[in-house]
Amino acid sequence: MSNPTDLQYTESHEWVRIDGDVATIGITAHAAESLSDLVFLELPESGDAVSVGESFGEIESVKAVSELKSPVAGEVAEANNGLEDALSDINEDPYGKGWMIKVKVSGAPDGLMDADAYDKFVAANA
Amino acid sequence: MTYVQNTAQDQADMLAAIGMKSTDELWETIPRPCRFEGDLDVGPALTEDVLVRHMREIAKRNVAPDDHTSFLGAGTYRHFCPALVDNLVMRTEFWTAYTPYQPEASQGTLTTIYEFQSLICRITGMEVANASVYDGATAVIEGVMLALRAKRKADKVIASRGLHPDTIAVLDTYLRHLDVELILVDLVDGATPSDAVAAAAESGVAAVAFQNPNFHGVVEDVQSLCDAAHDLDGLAVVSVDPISLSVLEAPGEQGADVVCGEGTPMGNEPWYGGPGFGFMASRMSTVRQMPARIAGETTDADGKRAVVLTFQTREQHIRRTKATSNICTSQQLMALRATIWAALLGKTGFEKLGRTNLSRAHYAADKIAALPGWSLTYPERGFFKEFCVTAPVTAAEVNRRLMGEHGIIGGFDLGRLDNARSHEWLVAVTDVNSREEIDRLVAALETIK
Repeated sequence: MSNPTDLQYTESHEWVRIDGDVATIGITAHAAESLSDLVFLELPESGDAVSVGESFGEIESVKAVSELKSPVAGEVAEANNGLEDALSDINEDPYGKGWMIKVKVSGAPDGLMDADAYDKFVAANA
Repeated sequence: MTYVQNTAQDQADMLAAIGMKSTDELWETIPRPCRFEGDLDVGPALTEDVLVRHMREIAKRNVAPDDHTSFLGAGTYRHFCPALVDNLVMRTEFWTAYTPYQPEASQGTLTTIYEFQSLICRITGMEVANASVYDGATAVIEGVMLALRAKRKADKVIASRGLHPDTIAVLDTYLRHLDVELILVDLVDGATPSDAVAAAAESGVAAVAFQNPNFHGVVEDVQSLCDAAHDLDGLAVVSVDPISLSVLEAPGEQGADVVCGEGTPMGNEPWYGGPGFGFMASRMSTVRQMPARIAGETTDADGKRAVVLTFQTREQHIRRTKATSNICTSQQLMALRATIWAALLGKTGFEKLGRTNLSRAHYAADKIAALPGWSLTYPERGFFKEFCVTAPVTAAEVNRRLMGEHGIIGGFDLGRLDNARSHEWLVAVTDVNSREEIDRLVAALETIK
């Protein structure tokens, strides 16, 4: 699938949707595909603080464990806890049902790529 | 896997492959001031026969339970171990094996780990066990660390003073370097009061850790203490004597979240304080917080049963600094001894062993308490194989006279921990103490007034 143009992307393959002061974060289709069969997801709790580039959780597949890195700074407003028991949502609908956390941001994020730049980044690093 | 030594030629080939001329080059990164230069002060090499004689002379100076009747416990206990355990563990496949990487190449070793884990789950009433940890004391702190990981915002650990003093010392060693407060709860009449546990903190409790039977041999009210832990929204970490699980209710049935302890009494000997092993079991809901190796059963590509190391993403060789714990090995040989021992005893033998310990200890306690001037320190409390008595003279004096006049190793002098308790004496009576030995002890105590 092509990467939605209304989102922004990180080099560690997270996407973020900004809506006012709430940022919704997940991992991209490319990341989900690279990880292949997902077995475990650990998300933070609401109230936990997150900072740019810092880990907010981890995702484990049969191949590897990866840190989930936050593209924004702020406080976790909500975590998609049901996702831990429905990991296939991440593979099937990474930008919709596969959302992971919603963060109340404390500043506008910067240093992120748009869909086009992210596509080029993925292609260059394939 | 068979063990084969490297020859000098093998070593030369390996050095050549990495472009080095001698093994000394491997140590180049260690700064000179840190290196030991010179000879070790152990004297010249001896021939085998001279060396054996020399060691025997030194060994003769030991006073060991092997040739002296002993009633000393306080965390280290002797129990019957069939000769077949020694015989089987000395097979080269077991004796010299370490951790095979890739572990799946050693299906035999992994199968024994899986059997061991199953045994531990069976007797503790828990859902998952690891392949063993270093010892009982570190098993308790690992249980507490598991609770701290599971309860991320908690910063307090409540521990009973009924835990072995060495366990408390280990808890303190670890927790003092973390932002965690260790709150110790005193015993009342030899047992841990659950109301004091409940009142020890208001919030932020990760775990309540206690031991059963406790250091004084007293059987605790495990259900109440686990309930108290849960009322505080913490996990119950219960350290148990595995032999006691033959007659006492499994802690898993009483609300324990982690069951751990010193496994050495199963199939191992006290030796010189080790080696032994610690066991650790919990529920599947916290399996990812559990340290150390875990073996799991699965099927291979041909559909045949196979055993693997599983949940390895907790471990150091995969997560490095983010690992759940630094433990990436196990006390494999000692845990194997325990597994063989348990298989030889079977469920029936295990229960029989437990009842033997129970009845011998109670026989001894009744006889000692009947002696004028002697009494049980906690007469209202239940006990398994160890109990506390109050003597008419100091425990140190009792032990001195037992050894000097009768060649008997006496129980633990509680005065060593607290001067106010110098008349309290902790007596362990297990299946290795015959009725005749107990009668001899009682007769000897009768002369100590």
